Amino acid sequence: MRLADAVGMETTYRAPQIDTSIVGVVRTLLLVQGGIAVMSTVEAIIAGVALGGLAFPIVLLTAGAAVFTLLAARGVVRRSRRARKTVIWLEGFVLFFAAIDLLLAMALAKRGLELVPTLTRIVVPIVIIRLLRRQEVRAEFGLGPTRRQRRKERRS
Amino acid sequence: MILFHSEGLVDRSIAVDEYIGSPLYYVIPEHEAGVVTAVLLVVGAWWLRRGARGGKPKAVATIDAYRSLSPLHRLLAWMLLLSSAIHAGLVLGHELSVYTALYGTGAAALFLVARRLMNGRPWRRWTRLVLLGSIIGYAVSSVAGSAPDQLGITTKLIELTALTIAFMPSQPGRFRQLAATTGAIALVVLTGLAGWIGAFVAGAGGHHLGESPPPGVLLPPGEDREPTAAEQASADTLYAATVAAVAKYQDPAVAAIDGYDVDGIVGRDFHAQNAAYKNDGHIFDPQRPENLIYAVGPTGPVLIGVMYEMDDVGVAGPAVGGPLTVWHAHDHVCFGLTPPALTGLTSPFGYCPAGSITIPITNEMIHLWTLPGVPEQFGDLEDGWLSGYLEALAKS
Repeated sequence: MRLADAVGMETTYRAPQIDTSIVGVVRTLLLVQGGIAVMSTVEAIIAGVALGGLAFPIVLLTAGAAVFTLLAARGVVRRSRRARKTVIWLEGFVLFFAAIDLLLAMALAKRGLELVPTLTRIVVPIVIIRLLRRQEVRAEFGLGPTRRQRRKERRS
Repeated sequence: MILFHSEGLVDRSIAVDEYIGSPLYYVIPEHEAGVVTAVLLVVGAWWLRRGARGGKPKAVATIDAYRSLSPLHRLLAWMLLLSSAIHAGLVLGHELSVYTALYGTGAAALFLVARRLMNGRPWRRWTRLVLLGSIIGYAVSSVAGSAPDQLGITTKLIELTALTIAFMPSQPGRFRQLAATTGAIALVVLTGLAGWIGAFVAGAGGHHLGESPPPGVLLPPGEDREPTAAEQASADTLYAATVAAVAKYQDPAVAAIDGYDVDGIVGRDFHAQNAAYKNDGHIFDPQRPENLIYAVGPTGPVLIGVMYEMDDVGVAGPAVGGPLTVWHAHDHVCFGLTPPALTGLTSPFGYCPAGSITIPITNEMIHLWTLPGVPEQFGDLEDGWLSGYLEALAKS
């Protein structure tokens, strides 16, 4: 399966539209995250060389994360369901590792995460997931409301 | 068992906050006012909303202008106002200088472009200009040696997010879109690289007391001073005892027999650890150094030194030689899980490479360099000196 297919990219070209909706917000945050992942790839290569052996799997994994994030940013603008799902999984991974780091920081250093990692690894992923799960955004991707959203609707 | 100890220097617990680390991983005191003004902006927005609900005309007009924006442009307005507020806070936190003038100008310019956006006036070109100026100015000051801190990096991330929006072309087009995306990503990378350079330039002091260490190194508090005669004698005794005790490990095969992990020696800073000597209650024992350090020389591995380690995190090492024997710890170390290995340090943007976890702090350690004629017997080994030593070995 091609990488473009994996994140729900369409193979036929369609002129990109300027998206200023909530999905446009998600795209912007994903682009910044993608840029950070590209930066992490550069760091992994430099650190691998400096530490005496290129940690090839780590470089590959980080580069893969960067490519997936950037392709997914493009996919969500095209309202690809697969891209939406990929983004939610990617953000889940970011949150999982942030949670491990938070626990380690609390256990070993008796403190939490600093300002920047709190924003980039906790706040931004939660914002992206929450935005993509909003009822009106789900509708844009051709998805119905979640069970919880239906229950809330019935109650109101 | 503690060898070479001095009264009052051993078994002292040390909290993370006591260490001197790279500003890359904390908010420097002069920047704390920026955090306060950012919070004040959020409180002000809440106050404005309340005023609008109460029918106050100015508040109603501002909230209406905000609500007329699309979600993406609302995010942009927030990013511009947040950056403006932080810059205004930086003016308050610093004494008058060229920097405060620049912060003040930045705060005003960012506020004005946010106002243009909310008033429905053309904003794109001005916003790009102001944000590019702020980001490039920060990168230049970082590279010049002004250490970046958590608030500085946060502000730049806010501005990079805003710039990603401002870069978006007003008209659709494949090439324009690609150029905008590429430009935004390139700026994120350049800002990150500038942050690294700034942190390392500012931390070029090495492992001496009272100096700003490079990222990933924590030093105990204190000022550099001349050692007393007793401290010099203690350091000399420890040094001589260690050099004599580890001479047999010039041959890595001998080290392997004694339990050191010498498999796959690479690079010029290979730490071969001995699991049996870790957490064994022996501190500063020349017969049982926790790590041997090898460099790959012209004819094979060369033993260049040892590294002693404390058993537990948060316990200060015994500075038997006073300022000559300064222990250090490491912070924000990235450790990969695929396969298990060191993968670097936490980046300015708070990430480790994918599949890595962050070790927030390590136990204390100290290097002792055993090569003859080494400029400093403890602490940092000058890279240039080691290169010269290895080159001389190749010629001999």
